Amino acid sequence: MMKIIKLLSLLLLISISGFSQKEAPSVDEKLFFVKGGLGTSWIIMPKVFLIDPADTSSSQILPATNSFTGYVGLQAAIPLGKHWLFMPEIDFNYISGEIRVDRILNDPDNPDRFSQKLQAYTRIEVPLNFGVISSDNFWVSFGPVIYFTLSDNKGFDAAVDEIRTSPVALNSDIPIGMRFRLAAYIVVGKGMYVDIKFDSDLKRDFYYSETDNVYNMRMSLQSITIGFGYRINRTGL
Amino acid sequence: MLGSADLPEGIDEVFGGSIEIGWQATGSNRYDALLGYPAFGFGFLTYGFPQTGILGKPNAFYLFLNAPFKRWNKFSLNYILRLGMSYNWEPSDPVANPSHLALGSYRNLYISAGAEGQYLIGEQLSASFGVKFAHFSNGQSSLPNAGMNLLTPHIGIKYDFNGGDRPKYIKYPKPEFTEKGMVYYVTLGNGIRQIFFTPDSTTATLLPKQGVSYPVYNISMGAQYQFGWTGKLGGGVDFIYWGAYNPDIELGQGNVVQAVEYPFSDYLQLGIFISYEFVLNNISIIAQPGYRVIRKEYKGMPTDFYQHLGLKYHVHNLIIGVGIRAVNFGQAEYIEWSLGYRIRKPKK
Repeated sequence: MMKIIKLLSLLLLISISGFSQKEAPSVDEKLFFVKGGLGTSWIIMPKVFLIDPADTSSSQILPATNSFTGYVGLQAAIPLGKHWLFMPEIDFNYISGEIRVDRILNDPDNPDRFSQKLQAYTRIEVPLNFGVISSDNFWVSFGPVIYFTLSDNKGFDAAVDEIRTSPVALNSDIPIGMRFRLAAYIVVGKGMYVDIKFDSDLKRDFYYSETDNVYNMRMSLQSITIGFGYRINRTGL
Repeated sequence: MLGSADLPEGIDEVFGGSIEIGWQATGSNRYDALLGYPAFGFGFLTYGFPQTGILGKPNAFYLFLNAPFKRWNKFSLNYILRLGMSYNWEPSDPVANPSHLALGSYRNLYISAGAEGQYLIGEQLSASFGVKFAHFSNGQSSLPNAGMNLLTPHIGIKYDFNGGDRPKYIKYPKPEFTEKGMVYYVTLGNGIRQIFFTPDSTTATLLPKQGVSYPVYNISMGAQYQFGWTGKLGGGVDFIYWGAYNPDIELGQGNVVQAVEYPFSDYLQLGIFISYEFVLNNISIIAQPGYRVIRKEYKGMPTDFYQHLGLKYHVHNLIIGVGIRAVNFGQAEYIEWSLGYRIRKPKK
């Protein structure tokens, strides 16, 4: 019964008829915007485990709850033909997520423990996205975002330190990386837009490096933000 | 929800509320009359479980559609649909939340369907009452994923911001479709498939029952013939990178329990599919049942016959999609998000 309802739901949902698109207006000049936004962010990564045969315990590292992200930046929209835009951007970004490290001791006299910390970064982001112009003042953009880490609060390292039973060397630095972005822009006034975007870091990893006896952790963050853009080179959109 | 050691009687109480803002179709779009002048928009809901805190206090943002089965003078009987994303669940965790056995993720897809009656009680006020079924799931991206099902009655008040100026609900004859022709498309999709490894596995003796995530990528290339306002039919091929090939874990360097890796070619599969697309303006629903014709066999592999059911939104020729890939007509493999491009060749 549930499957039938799900199928019917999807079939009928398609009948949303309000997102009408006719022939889109073209953009024939370069547009420049100042922008900023806020949203929610979180860490994703494969669940990984460590087993310590000596003390018959294991630990696992998990993403935890939602956290906060925000950014300010500059953006250009450069026409590439009738419906397409090149939309480079530079942003100053704060992004965070909580991470939890469980230590499972398999010992009835010694309860399991966990440590949960906020992992936060400030970054410079350089989106190199392409946009498609729809009608009704509605754009979509997508593409890669290169980011450079300016600061890292080392929340993950602190969580491990709090519950570890023996010294462990960690490397969780991410000096540079790449994200994927999908965004939608809705014009809300002359020279102004509201954008909704989804970002996801593209690489995540956890492995042990025998040469320097270090556990390497590369966390991946995702975010959804709502932003506001204001055209600065002239009025009108 | 069934009971657990900490909550043997199970959970059977839930309460919640929602607020929605929407638009009433007026007939400005050719599809309005075809659908009986629906109302659509977006909403926010919150649920609480007074018997326990192990599930969290989920909220959701969603799109909604209310459309009539039938309208009378002041009364209408509607079907209601919602699709969105929920958050603020307290997921299953072997240490922090071992009693929760339904969902392993903070964020879960929200889908709901039901029926309601709506009665006009003034120029701008309507009362509504009905029942809806809600399902929360993460599409096997974070186990456990038994899912959460809620069957809830609801009552509500609707306010018309247009001063009671309602459309005429005129039924027009369907216009002739003049743009028959071929559509060629390619999409790139991505999803996460999680596999559980149980504690009796050799390398996982010390582990709790937990899952490991594997990536799945898919390039779909297809051709369809659009034969009317609402239909396209065609077929194509899926080039699949199935990251969950022969899943197993091993104890690697540094005592890290990690996924066993295989040669790249072992992960590749080729599928062929037929495709039907139900089109309504720029949104469409796509059903693409397929069959894996090339893949490397392994014990416990999913069936060769698979199903893909999804939604697509077209921004001109750019395709943005989300769908469920499944086997056995309901056993989810993963949720796929996709981007693509189409080329239309209408007959001259």
